Amino acid sequence: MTALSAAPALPEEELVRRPGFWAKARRHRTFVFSGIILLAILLIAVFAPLLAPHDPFMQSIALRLKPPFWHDKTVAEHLLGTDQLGRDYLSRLIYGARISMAIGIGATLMSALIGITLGLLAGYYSGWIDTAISTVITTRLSMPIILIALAVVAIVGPSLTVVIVVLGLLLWDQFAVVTRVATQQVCTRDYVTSARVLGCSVGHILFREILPNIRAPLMVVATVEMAHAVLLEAALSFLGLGVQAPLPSWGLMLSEAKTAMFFSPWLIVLPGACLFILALAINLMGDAMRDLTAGGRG
Amino acid sequence: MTMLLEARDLTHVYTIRQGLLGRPAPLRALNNVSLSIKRGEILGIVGESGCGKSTLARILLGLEAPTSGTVLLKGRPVGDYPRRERALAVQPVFQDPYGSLNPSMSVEELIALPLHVHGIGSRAERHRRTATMADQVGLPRRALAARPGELSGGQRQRVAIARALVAGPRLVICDEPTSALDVSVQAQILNLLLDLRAEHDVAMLFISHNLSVIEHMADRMMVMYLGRVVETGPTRAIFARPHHPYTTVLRDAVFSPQDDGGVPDLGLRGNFPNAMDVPSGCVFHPRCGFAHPNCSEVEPMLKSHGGDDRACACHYPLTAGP
Amino acid sequence: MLLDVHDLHVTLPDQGRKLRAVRGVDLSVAAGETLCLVGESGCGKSMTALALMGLLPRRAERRAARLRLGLTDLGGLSDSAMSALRGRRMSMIFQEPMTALNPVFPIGDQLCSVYRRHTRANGAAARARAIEVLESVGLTNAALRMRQYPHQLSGGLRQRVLIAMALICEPELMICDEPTTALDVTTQAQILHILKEAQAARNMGMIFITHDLGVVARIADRVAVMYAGRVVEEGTREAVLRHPAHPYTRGLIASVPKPGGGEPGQTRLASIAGNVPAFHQEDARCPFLSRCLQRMDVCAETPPPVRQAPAGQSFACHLLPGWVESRAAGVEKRA
Repeated sequence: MTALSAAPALPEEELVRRPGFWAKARRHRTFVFSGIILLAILLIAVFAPLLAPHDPFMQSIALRLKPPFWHDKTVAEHLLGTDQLGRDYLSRLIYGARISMAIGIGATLMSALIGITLGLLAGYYSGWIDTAISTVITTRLSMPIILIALAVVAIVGPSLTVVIVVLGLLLWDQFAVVTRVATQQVCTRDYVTSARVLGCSVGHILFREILPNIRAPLMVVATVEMAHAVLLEAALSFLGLGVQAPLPSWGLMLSEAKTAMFFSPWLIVLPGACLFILALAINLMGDAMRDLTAGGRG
Repeated sequence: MTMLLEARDLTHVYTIRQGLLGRPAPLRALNNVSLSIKRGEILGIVGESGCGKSTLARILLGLEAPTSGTVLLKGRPVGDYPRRERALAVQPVFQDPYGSLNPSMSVEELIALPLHVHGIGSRAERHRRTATMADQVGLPRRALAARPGELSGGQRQRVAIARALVAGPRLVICDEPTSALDVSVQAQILNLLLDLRAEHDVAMLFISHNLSVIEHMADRMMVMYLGRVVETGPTRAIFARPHHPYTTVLRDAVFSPQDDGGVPDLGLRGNFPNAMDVPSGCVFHPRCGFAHPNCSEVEPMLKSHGGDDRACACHYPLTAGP
Repeated sequence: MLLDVHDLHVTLPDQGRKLRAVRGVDLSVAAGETLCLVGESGCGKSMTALALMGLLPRRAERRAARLRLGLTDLGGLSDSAMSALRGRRMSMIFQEPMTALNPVFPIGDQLCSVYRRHTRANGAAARARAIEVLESVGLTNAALRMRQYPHQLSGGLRQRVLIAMALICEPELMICDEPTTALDVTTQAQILHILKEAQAARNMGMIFITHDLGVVARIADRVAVMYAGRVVEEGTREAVLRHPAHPYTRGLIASVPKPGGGEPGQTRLASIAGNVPAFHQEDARCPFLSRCLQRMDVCAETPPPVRQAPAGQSFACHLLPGWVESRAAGVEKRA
């Protein structure tokens, strides 16, 4: 078939090359900074058995409460000192990263799944489905999640899995709200209308036409909720209703260090610093995502 | 010969709730609109905002069901066809080149979507048909792997046209396909549509607010005003001698580079009426320069005035006799 | 000369590079005259208008050899002096009236506030003036309309309100950036009428930006055709539209569907191949090179000189004026 009214093959007749996401991201300072930190924590969590110098559970009464390397009374083999039971603090911090990352990723994935599904349905179908789902969202928003989490964990019994599930079931509201609004906006576009005229199934429209195009705000919500989940778990563990001893959750380590904090301040400062760095990195990543995905059309 | 598409007495009423506590009021977007399209023919629909052309397009595409009236595809009611067959027979091309393509799909995926959704052909076959279609609409081969964000407005419309034609529909509904494009690109796209019509023997319903584009493209045309058809017939004949006063106004309101200076007085009185508060009798009478007393009392029906398949809804059409 | 612009340049920073949106544009408008600035998207016509009004984005740079309104040098004015001049001696109306009007204030308030900003009039005088100018743009029941909000008016009426706002201080020059593109054709005719009447009554200069050559034919005294940030052809309406010299202008006029041209559904339009350039290329070549059917080798080496066509307009092309017609006829026949 010859090309009818085609533009002649001119060297200048080009497609507009826009810089891709990664090209822009590589140059964004906040993205690179927070990306490196998060990647480092993730790798530490994954390779904990290889990186930790000691077994985090091994107790040693003789080496209790040894201070970290910047103190003169330090012990060579325990770089960051030991806690009240003589367990190596560096190893506990490294394994603690596993727990925080597991919570962060697990709870976020679960809440994303619930929230995005509800948001897509509410945004695509208006009418009673939207009203029903919006009512559920509003109900969830008016519940104080910390109290509910405490209550549930107290009833069911605390453990890592329970914490992940409870947080996953409580943190989906932002996902749902943002997805619903974004879906409503995208549904006014002609490409969704074209898909309907074409006879595409609802599943195709929701997951191939709408969802890929609302990724940007959802990534930002995911980072916010991930930081939220990490800090909530720390709070729950601190109160004794999260991860149980002897697991090295950073929040639990804070709790265990309460009594010794005036004489051995590193016991509180180090896990606190780790939580702070992780939450900060996640939030900075969220800011960077917002910057990188804002503006410009598809 | 059976008409490819026929619409009889389509009426569509929206219920608009006015304000938070106001009572719902009816908005008659379409009022007894009938049309027919033959195989391979281009029917042009022209009208200004509020005339109901977008509602008409949505109903013919199957996005909404009319409040009353029937749509017949090849002589049978459109509801008799399975959804898939209807979808493959009638395809749209929309106005906004930036909103009518999914930004996260590649051009190849976009064009192949109708084939993919309805399971037509093997993967290799689909790829072949997509590439052929891309050639026919004048897209370079390397565009197939690109995303819509990398294409210009004209190139995107070509993708939309390719997508509309790839599954071999019998009718393409073009809703202002060139209104958002630059003038030089518009000419390319109009030429392309005419070439493809000849190549594929596909009929088109061409909606535009620009009368000169309609005159260029359409074999037959229909003029709409406030949800009603006011004139219909062969394009050439209507342009040479419009029967309805509104058609004359529309024709005089379109300017061309060859015109002399000076803005013409269209002879239109008053402003656009509110679609919720339609004038009595002939809906055009408050603005019509030729209105007679009974025009405000009785609504004129669409009637043929002198052969050659023209009709006009006016008590005093601008032609005396056959 | 009411407005005198020579060698206007506008540069915008874009991801580390500098985008030259307007490259050496010359314009002039006399009192009572309408200059139409014609071009397609991306040609720089809106940027030119914003540059004249001093409304460019902060990061943009503007420089010009001469930028004068009457005896005032616009280039040397401070921000506050420019702000006092805007709306008073020079005003502008835009394409989308809904976004140009503040939705939370009645239109009467908005009109009065413009008037009081530039004069020392009190409330009653401002109201009276607002009603007067609303009536002059054809708004009936002006006193009642003053209390209405923008969303209560139709598109055509909103545009009239914008025109009234632009006229209320009796400016010397009005710039209209595609004011009728978003309106129906019948409304467009009415708005154009109002603009021409307002211009005649005040002997006001007008710059009318549009991509619609039909509108240009009806209202322009002079025409300037822009492409890729430059003016490629400039002259009287008669000369540019009836005897176009530049290949781009010829192509543009040829690609508009004409009434009574050929059998409906059967005729092809002469079209310009390729797309409007997304990013402008470097100076050594003619910007229209890639789409021009009459290109020659020299077009890729030196920028085109400005020549004078037989009908009197100036245009920037390597082709000698006498050659344009004959070469074009030959090429168009083959194409």
